[in-house]
Amino acid sequence: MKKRIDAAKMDFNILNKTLRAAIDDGYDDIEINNVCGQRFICAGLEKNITVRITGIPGNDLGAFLSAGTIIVNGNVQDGCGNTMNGGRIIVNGNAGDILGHSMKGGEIYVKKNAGYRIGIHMKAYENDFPVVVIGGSCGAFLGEYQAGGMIIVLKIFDNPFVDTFFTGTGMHGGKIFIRGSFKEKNPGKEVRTRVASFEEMAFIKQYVEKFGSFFVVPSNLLDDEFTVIFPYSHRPYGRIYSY
Amino acid sequence: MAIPKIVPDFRVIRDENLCINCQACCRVCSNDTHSFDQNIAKIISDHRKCVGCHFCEEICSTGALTIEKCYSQIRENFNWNEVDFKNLMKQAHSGGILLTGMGNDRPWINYFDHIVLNASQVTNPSIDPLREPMEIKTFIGRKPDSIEQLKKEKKLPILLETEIPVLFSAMSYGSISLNACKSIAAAAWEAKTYWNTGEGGLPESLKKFVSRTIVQVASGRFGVDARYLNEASAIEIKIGQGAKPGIGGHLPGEKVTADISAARKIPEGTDAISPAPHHDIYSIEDLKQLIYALKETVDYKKPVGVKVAAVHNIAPIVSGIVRAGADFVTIDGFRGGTGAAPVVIRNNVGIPIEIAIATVDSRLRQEGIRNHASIIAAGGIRSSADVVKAIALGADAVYIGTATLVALGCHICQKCYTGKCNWGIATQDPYLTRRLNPEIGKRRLTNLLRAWALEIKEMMGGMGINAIESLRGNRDQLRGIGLNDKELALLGIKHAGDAW
Repeated sequence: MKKRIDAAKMDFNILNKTLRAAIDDGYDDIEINNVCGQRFICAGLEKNITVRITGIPGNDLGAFLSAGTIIVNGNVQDGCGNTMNGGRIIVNGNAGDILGHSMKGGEIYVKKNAGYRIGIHMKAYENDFPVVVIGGSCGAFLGEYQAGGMIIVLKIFDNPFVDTFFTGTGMHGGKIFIRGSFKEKNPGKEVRTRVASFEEMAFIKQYVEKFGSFFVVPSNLLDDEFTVIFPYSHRPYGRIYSY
Repeated sequence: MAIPKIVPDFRVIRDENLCINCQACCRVCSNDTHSFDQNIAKIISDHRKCVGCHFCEEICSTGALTIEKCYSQIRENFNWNEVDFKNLMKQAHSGGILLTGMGNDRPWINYFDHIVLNASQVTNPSIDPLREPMEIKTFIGRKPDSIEQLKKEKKLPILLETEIPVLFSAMSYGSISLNACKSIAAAAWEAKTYWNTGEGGLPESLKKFVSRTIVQVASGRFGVDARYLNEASAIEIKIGQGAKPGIGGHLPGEKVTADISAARKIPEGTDAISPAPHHDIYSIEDLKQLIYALKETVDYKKPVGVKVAAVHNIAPIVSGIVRAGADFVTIDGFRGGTGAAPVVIRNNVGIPIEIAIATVDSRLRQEGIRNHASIIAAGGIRSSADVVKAIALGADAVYIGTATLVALGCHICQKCYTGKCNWGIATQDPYLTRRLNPEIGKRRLTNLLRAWALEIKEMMGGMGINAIESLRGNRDQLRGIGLNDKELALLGIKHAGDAW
């Protein structure tokens, strides 16, 4: 069942209340138009529905998301997918800072660039495996404290305003894949890099192909070499204490 | 070079006349202090390994063991006391940050011990709680501004209802054992108060107590998902902890067992790192954002609180937190406990809870927003008298952490971070955790709360007060002893001898 919500000049709590009521009424394909900065859209969504957003949603889009698909025709602000543990967010534009903060599961696809601290503190557990795919590039502290899951940066679009430093600072699990070579002068102290293996390329293939199915992007991305950034220890701070 | 050894902290005194060589002490000690020497058919104790937890002393069937402080003394020196001397020696050996457990053990002033309570004499009658009704039920959360507002809105905000203004402090499954968590959760359930999951997630076996559970959202976001938030009675955003304000936490990988990894939703054996800040909160405005993200997630059906450590600017900080929309604010004083913290942080950072409660309460009253949030005081509450004093200084309720563990057997040896707790509390070793029977633990905790409830009622009755509401922020009932003018002004109390 389809429903359309006009969010023009609507306060965030009214919008979310309307959205929750629509979900309770059984609508499973909801379109929200004229979104302009309303925060917390779809926060804590637990039903497997589709929400299509036109405009620019505010911070914490899909925070604590457990299920469903959010498709954004526009850019997203900070904290998109904050502590999400399931579902999927597709952003047809750019993303702000701390995208996928403490993400435990689900997938986020961003067509263009993303801000600072992307995928900070992502973790994984058994079948919960979070994946973030960025079409462009990312700001500093990519994958900070990352404890699990996977971040793929395709570098199709270069972002002249964002410089990458301290990638993987405090990282102690999971992997970051970057298309092409990784020339950062100042990566985190806790990471090592190498060229992605055949098995790893086979693993990321499904996610890159999904990315290609959502957006119009070059189809030969996987022909290029990918660099893997990985932590050398699961216990980066194990040796700073004395007993 | 001659490398100096560190003088042991304790001496194990064994009365050879009483010892029957049963070797129970050898079997129970997780630090391997005692061992049986086949050659001389005698038990030998290595003083260096003893942490002073007194477990062997208490289980020794003949009473042959006594654990004493080791009196090997360095030359007395006011500046170089034994603790600082030993700590320096350990660091010269290891080169690491010294860890410790439990709360600040330094002899800082304890203001609770310098405050006395009032009692009715002649001018107004005292009340006998044994024969007259006394109300200590407490509601935690945002209260309406006025009766008119309540009549207009026709409903109360969502409140937590507790039969006694004493809640169990946040202690995660991981920092303490599942049996300890079970004891606490079951006691909270039975005594109709609340317990707090800490940052350890909610283990499956404790879900039956979920309607008496406050869940924590800390910087690591371990085990946090929409279901966890929706099941709980209330949500607490943890910003800081009294024992280690401003720093994060590391649950070492070796403690992340299969069960703990399931509760925290992280792989086994990986360090569980809680960063020092929440990386989505760098300001009061950001805190407001997380508070409302949580409120939206639970559809405004649960109170959302914020826990902070008592630090220098605590009054304006709490004012900001209340204005950000928190329904309750937990303030943890510098005597608050921990499972692991750097010694230097625990002993030197933060301010006493008594001052923090008083200054926060005064500030919120001045600003006319005291009713917007409840204040839960934590960190160093040892007795029902401390509870009464904390509430009279301005708190709505208190959290007890160390007191809870002491009721379960803890002897405050401060070695929680080693994971070798002989009392089965701060450990995940099944050989040790089964020493703590959750059924007995629950009974001991409900006993403690019952005793405190009786004592609180006695003290209130003596003051001629029959409802805890009338005690809250009622600083006229308090007098200071041996405090200077500045301290009295900050606490908002008069000196003993000053009449109304």
